[in-house]
Amino acid sequence: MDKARFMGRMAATVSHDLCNVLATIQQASGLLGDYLALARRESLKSVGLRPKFKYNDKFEEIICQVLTQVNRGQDMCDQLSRLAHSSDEGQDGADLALAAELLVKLSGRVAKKHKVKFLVMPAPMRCKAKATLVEVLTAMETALTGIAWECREQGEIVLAPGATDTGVHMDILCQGLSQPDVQSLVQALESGESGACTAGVIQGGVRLAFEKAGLQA
Amino acid sequence: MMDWNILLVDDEVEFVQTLCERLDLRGLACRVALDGEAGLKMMDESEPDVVVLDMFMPGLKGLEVLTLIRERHPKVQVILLTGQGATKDGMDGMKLGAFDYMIKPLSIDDLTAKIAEAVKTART
Repeated sequence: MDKARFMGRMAATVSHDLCNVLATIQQASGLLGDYLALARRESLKSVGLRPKFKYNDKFEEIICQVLTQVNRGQDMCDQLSRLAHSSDEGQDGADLALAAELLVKLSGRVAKKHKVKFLVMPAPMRCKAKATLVEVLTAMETALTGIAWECREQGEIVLAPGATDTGVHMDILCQGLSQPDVQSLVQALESGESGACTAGVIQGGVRLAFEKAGLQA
Repeated sequence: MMDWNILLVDDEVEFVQTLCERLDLRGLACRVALDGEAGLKMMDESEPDVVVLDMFMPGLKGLEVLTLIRERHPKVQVILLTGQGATKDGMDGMKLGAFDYMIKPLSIDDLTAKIAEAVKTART
């Protein structure tokens, strides 16, 4: 866990610096917009004596593009920061629905690469696992990456958290998964398991079962 | 030009200078300090209405600067700037008497509106 905390601290530092970079880009492009607006006002006041800046519309379009990318970066920064703090948080258990949302946001590149979409279903109730957030994320990421490859270019992969009386689980489902695919995935997951969960075969996907938080031993 | 005096304290030079220029274009009198010590010194020379204070700087940390401002300049309102994932620090700052906190990157309109609220509080 010390290694996870070290990585978390490093990621938090990078995330903080990245926020500052984005903030500077955002304000610099905003300042450019301010001066364009000022030039427009002065042009109007001059009753046509001073011509409108020729490239005004193009500049505005570019500023808009920059701000869109800043917003995108801000979202990524937020996810990176949440990941960075995951090694400290969730020591007393991890909410599966929140973990799934975080993982899906961090896995945009995997989805793009395999041309699939990830969809997190709402949990029917609070599904808190006894495992730490890092353990839950690790197990889910391994399963999700495997399924994304098997289901490449086959549409949607659904993550559905759920609970029983004795445990909580995350079902990862894809219509394109065949039963042999699921079997081999589960075998691969079992061989690499850290002990935080068990993997099982269900109709159309894999179930990762975790011990429920708050249950007496 | 509004008669609001704003002090920005942040070690990110380009960010804080650009922010100051944008506030200035909106009619707010603005000064910049690049660390907590310099900010406190500038406050002793001329007290602003509002301080916009970054929480993570070399030298005195944001919360330490905030504590000193509360002791020396109780009327001055402080808006803290934090990064993503540091909302807990922002909440801690509010417990120590900050007016509010905002997360970077931030919109100039949101900041201006927050400054307006803080100035109103500082002057009542």
